[in-house]
Amino acid sequence: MILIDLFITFLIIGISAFGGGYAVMPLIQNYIVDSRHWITMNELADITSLSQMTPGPIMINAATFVGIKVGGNIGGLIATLGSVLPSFILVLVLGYLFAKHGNLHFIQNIMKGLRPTIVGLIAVAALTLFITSILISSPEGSIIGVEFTALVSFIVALIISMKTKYDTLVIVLIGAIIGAISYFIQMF
Amino acid sequence: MKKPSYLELAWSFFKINMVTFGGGYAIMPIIKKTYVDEKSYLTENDMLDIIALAQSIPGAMAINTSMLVGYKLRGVMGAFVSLIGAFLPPLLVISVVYVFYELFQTNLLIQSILLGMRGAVSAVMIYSAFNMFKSLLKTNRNFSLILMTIAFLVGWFTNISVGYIMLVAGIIGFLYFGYIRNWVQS
Repeated sequence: MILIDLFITFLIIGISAFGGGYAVMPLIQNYIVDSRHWITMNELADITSLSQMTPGPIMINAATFVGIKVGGNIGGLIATLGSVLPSFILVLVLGYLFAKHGNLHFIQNIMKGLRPTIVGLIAVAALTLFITSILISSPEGSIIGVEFTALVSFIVALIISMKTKYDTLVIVLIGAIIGAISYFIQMF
Repeated sequence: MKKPSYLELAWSFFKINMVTFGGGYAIMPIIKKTYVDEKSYLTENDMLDIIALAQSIPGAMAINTSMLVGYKLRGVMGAFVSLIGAFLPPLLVISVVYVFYELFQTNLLIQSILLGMRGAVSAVMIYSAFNMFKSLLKTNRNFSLILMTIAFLVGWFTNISVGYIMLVAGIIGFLYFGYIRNWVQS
């Protein structure tokens, strides 16, 4: 039955998806495009570009998209649940072990090495999102312009973040309004 | 320590996952902003430990981190409600996008709104990441600064998988704080 097949396939992808992000794409290609033929390579490329535009992890986006296509709305739900079940179980196991043994001396030493590394990697992610959102690059990778809509909302949001404690959702909605205003200014 | 209700957990992760573009590490400063800076449910170090654990579990970083925060604050049910909150936004968004697929890819108003949202999220992220950087320097200043710089350079200029970078960093921490520092001081 197709729903069970969907669930199990995305369960396997969920177990194998170490590293997250685009690391999951070859797995999806392997299981969904090549062996199950649920979507074509072109549709996979579309999912990738949609994932860049919409919020949410690419694995969840892909699971929902493929699930809906193969099994309707219920299929989307089943595929998504399958993809997150392995990490849910592992979170419980690892969270329990860390709560119990996390204070051990050698684990704390390991953590002291991991913490600065994580902040360094977050800086990479922050800078990458900044560049891909605000600067326009040529296909060769050199910078050829500035996306003014994104730049304006970046500056406004930065000032709000520094001066207030507004919820992130509110700040992003202000960004959305700036985007809408920018569209109407360009139209007329 | 203060603890959030189940509803607060689910709703906060719904909001966070609704607005976060860029995936993976991009979402971390946003979660930290809510749980460390605004509500003080977690300490800075709690947050970084949770991110390290999330990295060692397969699956999406954003979902793993949401669940681990839920587990840390409210146990198994906390992890479960955080999972629901975290995966509903992409599920809903993609379900809608699936129907309006053509429109979504070509409509200039939607494109412009998404651009505005991305710009705003980048700002929140960069500001929050900068705060993480500042508070990290309060302890083991030189060690942290060096390791962070190396991690940034390796992450920026190479394609080495994050898992390997973290593995090496863990070994460095283990050796430095367990053995080398005492040996140097004695």
